Amino acid sequence: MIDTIYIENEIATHPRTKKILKRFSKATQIKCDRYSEIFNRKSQNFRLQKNNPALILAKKHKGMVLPIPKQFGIGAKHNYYFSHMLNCIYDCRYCFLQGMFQSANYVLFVNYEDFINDIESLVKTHSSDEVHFFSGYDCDSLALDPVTHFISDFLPFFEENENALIELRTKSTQIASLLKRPVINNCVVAFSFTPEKIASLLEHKTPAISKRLEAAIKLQKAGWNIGLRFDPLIYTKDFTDQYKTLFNRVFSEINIDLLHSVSLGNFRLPKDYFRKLEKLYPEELLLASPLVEDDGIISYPGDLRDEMVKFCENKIKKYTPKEKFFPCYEVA
Amino acid sequence: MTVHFFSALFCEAKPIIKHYDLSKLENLNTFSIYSSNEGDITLTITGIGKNNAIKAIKYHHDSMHTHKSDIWLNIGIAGHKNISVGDIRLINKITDDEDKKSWYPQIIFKSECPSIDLVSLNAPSTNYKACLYDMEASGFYQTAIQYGTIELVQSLKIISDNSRTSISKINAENVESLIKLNIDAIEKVLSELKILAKQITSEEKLPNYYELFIEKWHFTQSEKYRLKRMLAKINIRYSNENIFESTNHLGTGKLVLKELENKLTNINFSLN
Repeated sequence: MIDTIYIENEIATHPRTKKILKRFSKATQIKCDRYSEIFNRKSQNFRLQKNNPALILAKKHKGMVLPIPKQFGIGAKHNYYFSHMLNCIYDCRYCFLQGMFQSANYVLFVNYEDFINDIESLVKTHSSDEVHFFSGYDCDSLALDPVTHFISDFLPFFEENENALIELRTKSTQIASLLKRPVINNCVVAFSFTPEKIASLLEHKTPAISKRLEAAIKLQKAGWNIGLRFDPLIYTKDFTDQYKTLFNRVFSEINIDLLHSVSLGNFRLPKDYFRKLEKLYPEELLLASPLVEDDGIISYPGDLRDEMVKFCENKIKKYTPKEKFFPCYEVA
Repeated sequence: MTVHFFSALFCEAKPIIKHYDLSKLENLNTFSIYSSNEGDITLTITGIGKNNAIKAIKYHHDSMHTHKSDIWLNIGIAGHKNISVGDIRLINKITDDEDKKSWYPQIIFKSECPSIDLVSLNAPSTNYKACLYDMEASGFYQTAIQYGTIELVQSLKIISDNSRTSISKINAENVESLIKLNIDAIEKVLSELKILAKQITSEEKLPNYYELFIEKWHFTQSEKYRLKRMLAKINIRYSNENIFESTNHLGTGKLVLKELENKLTNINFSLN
């Protein structure tokens, strides 16, 4: 699975590094000073690297926990995200990571302790309010958990800090570590869904929708809070039929009463990222969709966007109470 | 896609020249450059040392007009503490001994050829360590990645000397035979790189009908860029349509661009 591991000298003896190297004992190990020597060099090709990404074990020095962009929250006043990992084992053609990073190699920041310290100071800063932390922006929170042990290392902190909530955003079925440990109420496992046909065309290397749903149901039955993320919404001529089928299926199988939150967001990419995708995947039909540029962002034309959002909102609201619904766009 | 070989010495290059039946390009004199009849394989003899390698690669790029989808291979000999003479290695880290800068060739293909790190020295050394020593790889790599795609730029080294087999025993004849013995291994790496190179669509490749449009209507530079992007998408989305024919009646380039834009924002679009 991993043929090459780059190791920053500074964390070469970190216990987490040693554990990972032991797991991939056959991988070629290459020492480096800073992960940036390998990760974001010019002239790298994200598409080629996706064939066989290397793992880079590194130390994150600063900017560990950052405020989230507007419109991405699920109800709290204070919202932050952190990325213990950069890049993802999946290969979704709409993903912004392809535009943001030059490299498809996985970077794992092994100094979890420093992340937790920063999270702790923010929790203390907002001690009288609930603070939400999102972990799945620059990676899938669970997909590499058997390697990263992210769950077993981060969740104990949240167990002891009830005014902090963590969202684990995922398309993965790697839920063993969650099922193994006691449930905590301030953790939301948020599964991303697109209609099955669209997923099979665009979400390469991901578990099938049925498998994701199965994992979500299993976790919900075990007592975990489940979130549903319909983001990004992807347009195709029969999108109403496809999304209707998806919503019917998901909401009929999941326990709606126990659902933590549902969010909805449009397909949108910064122009620069989109241009990079065009170069990487010139044959990709998604990129020839009816798209327009507005203020540096590429997305569907306003009318189409509104139509899609309105349709999906109406469907979702049939199943979900208003207070559990969080649109990731400006609400008129 | 073109394959560009680089070797410091003629004796390192000779087996490759023979194997691919390359001929010297007599009009290029600053460095000796060889090419196949079809121009799909080229080879430059860089001379010894980092600075020569840097100059040779720049000259090669300028002379041969290289592309992002081209393959760049540095083939040469190197010393190591205990790896057997004649063994071949891909290089996964190159450190320049002079300024201590390092580069990390991305070996993203499965290869039977093991990989190792290498230090590029300014002068030959017999102070063998657990890495390879050569004198050109840092110059080759740092320059080639300016023109090529990192994943397609690789260095392959054949062990010529170690702590048991002295550097003094190296001569042109045995260097040539060491390289010759490894031609199959070089070919295997090359075939893996060719698979990867095919995934890169050359940015220079023009979409269908582009030249007809340029000939018929006037477009400014920025309009040409837009036209190129839009035509590429039209070709995907309306693959059965001759877009030149369907826009042929339009009077100006601006009207053509507007028409293409309308076609692309048309919501009669299916991903399936």
